[in-house]
Amino acid sequence: MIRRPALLLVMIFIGWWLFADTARHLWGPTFTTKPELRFAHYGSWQDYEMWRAVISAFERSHPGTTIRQEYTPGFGTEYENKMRRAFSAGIGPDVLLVQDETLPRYAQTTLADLSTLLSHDRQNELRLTSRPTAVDSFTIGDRLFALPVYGGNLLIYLNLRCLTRAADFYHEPIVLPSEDWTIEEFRNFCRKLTCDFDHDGRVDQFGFWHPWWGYFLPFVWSMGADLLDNSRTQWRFDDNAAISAMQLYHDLLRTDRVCPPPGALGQMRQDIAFLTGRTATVINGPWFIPLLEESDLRNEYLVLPIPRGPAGRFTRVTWDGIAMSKNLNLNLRSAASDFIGFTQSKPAQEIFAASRRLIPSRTDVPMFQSPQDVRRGLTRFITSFEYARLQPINPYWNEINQAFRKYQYDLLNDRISPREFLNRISRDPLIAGHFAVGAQTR
Amino acid sequence: MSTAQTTSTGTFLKFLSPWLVGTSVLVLLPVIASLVLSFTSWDGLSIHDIHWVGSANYRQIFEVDSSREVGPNDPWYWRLLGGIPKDAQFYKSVYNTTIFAVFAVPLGLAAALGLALLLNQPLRGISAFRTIYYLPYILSGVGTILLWQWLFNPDVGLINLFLKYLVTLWTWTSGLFGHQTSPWSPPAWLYSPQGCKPAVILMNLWGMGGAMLIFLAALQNVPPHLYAAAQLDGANRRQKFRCITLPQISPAILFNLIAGLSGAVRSFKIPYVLQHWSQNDGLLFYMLYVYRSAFESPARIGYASALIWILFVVLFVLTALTLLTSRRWVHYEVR
Repeated sequence: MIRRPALLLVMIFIGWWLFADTARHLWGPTFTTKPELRFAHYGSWQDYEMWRAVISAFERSHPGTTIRQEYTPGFGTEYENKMRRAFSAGIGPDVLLVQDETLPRYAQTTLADLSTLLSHDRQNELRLTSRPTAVDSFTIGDRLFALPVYGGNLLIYLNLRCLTRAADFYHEPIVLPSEDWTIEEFRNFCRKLTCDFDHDGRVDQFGFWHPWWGYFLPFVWSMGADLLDNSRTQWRFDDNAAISAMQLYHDLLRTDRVCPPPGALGQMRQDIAFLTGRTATVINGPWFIPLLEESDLRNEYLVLPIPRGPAGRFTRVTWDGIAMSKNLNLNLRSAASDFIGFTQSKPAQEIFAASRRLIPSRTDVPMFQSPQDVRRGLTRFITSFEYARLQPINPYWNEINQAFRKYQYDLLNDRISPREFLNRISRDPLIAGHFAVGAQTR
Repeated sequence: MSTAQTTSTGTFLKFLSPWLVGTSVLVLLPVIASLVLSFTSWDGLSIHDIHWVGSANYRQIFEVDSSREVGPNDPWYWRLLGGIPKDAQFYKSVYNTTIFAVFAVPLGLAAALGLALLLNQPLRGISAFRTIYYLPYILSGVGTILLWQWLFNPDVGLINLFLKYLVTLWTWTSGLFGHQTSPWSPPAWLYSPQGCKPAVILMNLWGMGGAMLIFLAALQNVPPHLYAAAQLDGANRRQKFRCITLPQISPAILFNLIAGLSGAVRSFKIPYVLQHWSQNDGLLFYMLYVYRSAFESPARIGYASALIWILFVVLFVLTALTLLTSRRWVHYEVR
C-alpha cells in the first residue's frame, strides 16, 4: 500500500531535481523579489578573480541585487560563439562582457543601445573621463552598445638576459633603443639579438617573435597602410604602403631571419619562447605582465615603444566593454544599469587597475607608477595612448582575419609576392563580398 | 485485437517510449532540421533571420569559375575541375580527407591484422600483451593527441631525435667509405604542409586496438580442422593464411573496412587539435571544414548543413559499393 505514495514522492523529487532550475530561470521573478542578474564574461582565472571582486563590491553597495557570475574560460572566438548560440536559443545573459572586435556582428540584434539610457551630459562626461578611443570602440553609427571597462595596447617586450647573451656572443655591447627608434633600427636590433651560439647552423636565440598579423597592425599603420577607409566600407589595403608593410612582415621571417620559422620551436607559444629566452623580443599587451612577474624574469625585462615608420608611430588598442541584453524586463533593466554604471565607478576601475594586466578605461585611475614600473618601462602602456589607434571596428573583423589566414602561408613561403597577396585578399569573397574594393584605390 | 494483445502492445510501447522519444527528439528531428536548413541561409543567431535560398548552397559548393586560368602554383586538382573553384576550401578538405582515408584505412587494417595474428599465438602471458596493445584504443582522446604532438615536435620530439641518431649513424658509416652526405634538415612534421598528413596517418595507428580486437575474435573463430586439413594437403603458412585465414575472417575485414572508412572520413578530433597555419590548411579535413563553416564566424549553418548532406550521400554510396563488392570477397559460413 505504501509503495504507490513512495513512488510518487520519488518522482516528484526527481522532477524537482531535474527541472527546478529551469522553472527558476523561466519564472524567476515570481519566486523571488530580489532581482538576480546573469553576468557573462570570459578570460583567464585572473579575470575570474577580478570580476568576483567587482561583483562582491557591487553586491555590498546594492544589497537588493544579486549577480550570477557566468564565466567562460578562454578568449575571443569561443566566447563569442557561445554568446551567439545563447542569444539564439533565448538564454543569453542579462549583462555581458564584449570585445570591440566582434561586437558589431551581434550588437544590432542582441544588445541594448546604452545611449538611450545615458543623458547627453553623462555621455559627454564619459568621453571626457575615458581614455582616447575607449568610447569610440563601442559606438556604431550614433548608437553606443557597450561602455568600456578596460583595454590594452601593444608594445615590445625585451628579455634582458637575451640582450646580455647576444652582447657576450658578438663581443660588443648592444645599445638599448631610443624612445623614438625607427623600424630600420628595430630590424638591426633584432638582427643583433639573433644568435647561433653553438654554430650548428640553427639559430638558438631569435631576435623577434613573428606576430599574428593583428599584432602586426602597429607596423602596418606605421608604414602608412590601412585596412579600411574612415567610413569602414572601402577596402584600402591595396596600395604601395600596404605592399611595403607585407614585405616587412615577410622579410622579418625569411630575409632577416630574426623570427623563428614554423617548426623551429615546435608548438612553443610566444610567451614560453620569451620566458625561456628563445626569442629576445615579442609584441604583446599589458596582459603579459602578470606572467612575467610570476617568473624569475621579473627583474630582467623591459617594455620598449613601437618603432616609428615612414607614416609615424602607432600602436593598436583594444577595449573590452560591458553591454546589456536587448530583451530585459524593467526590473532587471534597472539592476543591469546599476551594475554597468558601477563598473565605470572609481572603486571598480581600481580593482581592474590592481590586476596590473589591463588598463582601466578611466583616466583618473593611477597605474604603473612605482619606481620599479618606471624602470621596466611599464609607464609606456599609459603614455602610448597618445599614439594608439583602434583597429578597424566593423562587422566583418572575422572575415578579414580569415582572409589574411588564408593567404598568409603563400606569402611567408615565397609562393606569392606581397602584391599578389594583397590582390588575392581583395578579390576573395570574404573581403569583396563585404567591402567596396578597388573603386577608389589610391 | 484482443484486450490482452492491446495491453501487451501498450506495455511494449511504454517500455520503448524513452528510446522512441530520445531518437525522435535528439536524432530524427535534427536530421530533418539539417536537411531543411541546407536549403536556407542562416547565421545561427536569430530564428527570424532564416532565409530560403533553394539549392544555392549546393550550387555554391560545386561552382567553378572557368573564366580564370589555373596558375602553376595552384593545386593540381583545379585543372580537373576546369577552373578555379568558388569554394576552394571545400575541394581542399575533400582532397585532404581522401588522402587521409586512402592511406590511413588500409594501413590501419593491415597493422591491426598483423598485430591480431601476433597476439593469436598460444604464448604464456598473451592476455597481458593483448591488454597492453588494446589500452591505447581506450586512452584515445585529446590528451593522447597532445602527446603525439610532442613526439612529432621538430625541435625536441622523440621521433626526430631517433631519426637524428639514424642519420648520424648513416653519415658516420658513409664517412668510413669516403662518401660525403649532405646536411640533414629534420622534417617539420605537423608544421609543414608536406609533413602534417603523414604525421596524422601514423598517429592514427595508435587507435588500431579496436580493429585488432575484432580481428582477434574472428581469428579465434576459424575452425582448427581447416588448418589440419590444409596441413595434410601440404599447404605452407602463406597458403594457409591466403586460402583459410583471410576468407574466414573476411566478415571482420568488411566490418573494420566500413567502420574505418566512415571513421576516417568523419575524422575531426585530430585535425581540430593539431591545426596550425604553417600547414597551409593541410589538415583541413571535411568535418573540420563543416565545423568552421557552421560555428566559426561568419557562421553559415545552411551552408554547413548542405556540406553534411553531401558527406552523407558520399558515405552512403561508398558503403553501398563496399557492400556490393563484398559479395565477391566476403565469405559467410553456411551451416
